[in-house]
Amino acid sequence: MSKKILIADDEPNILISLEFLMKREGYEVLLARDGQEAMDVIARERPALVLLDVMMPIKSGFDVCCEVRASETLRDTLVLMLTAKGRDTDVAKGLALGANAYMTKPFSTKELVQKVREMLGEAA
Amino acid sequence: MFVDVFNRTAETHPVFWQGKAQVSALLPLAGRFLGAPAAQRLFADYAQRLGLSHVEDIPADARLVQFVETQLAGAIGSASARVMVASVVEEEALDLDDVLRILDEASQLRAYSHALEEKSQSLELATTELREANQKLQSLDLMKDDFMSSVTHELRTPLTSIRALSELMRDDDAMELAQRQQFLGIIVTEAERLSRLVNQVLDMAKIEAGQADWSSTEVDMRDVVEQAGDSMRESYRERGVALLLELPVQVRPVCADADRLTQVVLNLLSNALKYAPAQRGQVVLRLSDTAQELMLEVQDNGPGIAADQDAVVFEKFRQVAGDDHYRPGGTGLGLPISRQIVAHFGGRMWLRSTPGQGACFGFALPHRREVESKGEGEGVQVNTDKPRSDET
Repeated sequence: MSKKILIADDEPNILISLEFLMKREGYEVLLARDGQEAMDVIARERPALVLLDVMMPIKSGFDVCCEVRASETLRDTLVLMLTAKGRDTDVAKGLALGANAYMTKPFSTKELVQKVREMLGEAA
Repeated sequence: MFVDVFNRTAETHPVFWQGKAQVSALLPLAGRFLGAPAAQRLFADYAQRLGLSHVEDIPADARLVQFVETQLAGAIGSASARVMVASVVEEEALDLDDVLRILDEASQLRAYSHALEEKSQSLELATTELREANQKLQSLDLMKDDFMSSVTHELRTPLTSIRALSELMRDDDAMELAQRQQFLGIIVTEAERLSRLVNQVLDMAKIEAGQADWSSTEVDMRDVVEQAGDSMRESYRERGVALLLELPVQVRPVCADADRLTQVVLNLLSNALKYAPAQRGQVVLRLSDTAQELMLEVQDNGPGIAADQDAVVFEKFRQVAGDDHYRPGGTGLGLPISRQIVAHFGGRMWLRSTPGQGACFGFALPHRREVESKGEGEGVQVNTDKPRSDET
């Protein structure tokens, strides 16, 4: 059975591209357009990995990451943070809050796929 | 050095003395006549009275010399005591000139100390001012940093879709035509968004740096509104939003840059269009003269804006997002730029809104400051005084 990946981003066009990309790679894709929705989907669907945008309405990616790590049942969810800010402080904050990896927008689709495979322990 | 002001030589007329004394000389002297332990005790008591913990810390001043003399006087008589003390204290009588010089020096010292105190106070003040200025600079720096970070974010976001979608198409020769068309459409939209942002950031930077070109002519605001209305009509039709222009027969002219004012009106009309509900939206633009000003307001029937967001909407890169995920496109620079333009021509801009009842953005510009315009009554009136509406 294919692994579930949640894509959380408030930019509809980024959702469209990432959804297409991850489906092409054979994953089951879930979508969320804000931090709260992302939390709800993570709790309900238990995705193996979350592509998490930082700047989202209602709850930021940082908040979501914290909540996931603080939860007994959800803390093993893999988190790959995506940010368009890319300041060193943002990267450091994301990793300090428990993100497994960090990528700056715009990213190469090839590198993103590689990173996702690596995190899920699949050979490239 | 000390000056004997205790009048140790009061028998005849006051004589001033200057002398040098040392505790290390006076203590053994006292010890010779009183016994070393007793002298040590005396000096220790003396030090204690002065609040000092060590005998060596006692200031070798006239007071100490007098103290030793008094103590010795009990043992060897006052005259001998004075001679003995004088033998270790290098004393000489001072003439009046010396005394005056000393007094002069003392008063100069006082003056210096006073000036120093004043200096130190003004220095303290300057330090406080510097600290405040530094804090201001730091917060400006922070604002600049925030601005850069926001610009970066706004630039990278459309680039993300453009790059990802281009790569997806490049890597898949067999992609269905409809899919390819959808992706290309998004790429074009995002590229347009990027250019708009670049233009607006540059525009904003120019205005803020005082390097924008402004023309200043007599402007009939009705022409500006007509022109902006014409260029927005198609977009309004597409989204199913009615646009009503309520223009009086005549308004007094303002002195401004017509192109810049068109930019402001277009910004207000396009904002109103974004937030008005599709297919049942209605936007009313009202133009009116007051005694001092020309006033323009654009009212929509969208979700409105909460009172605490009033100031926020005029900040850079701030968009008020609805809770229904409806995120209208835009750079978050339109309103800040519009407000700068209006302010440049001596006007002001505002927002009035009740959540649930739409938002109303408006601005006022001062009338051209001259006697009544000469063209009055010539009547090239295109509009009737009935509001004109452009239903879709």
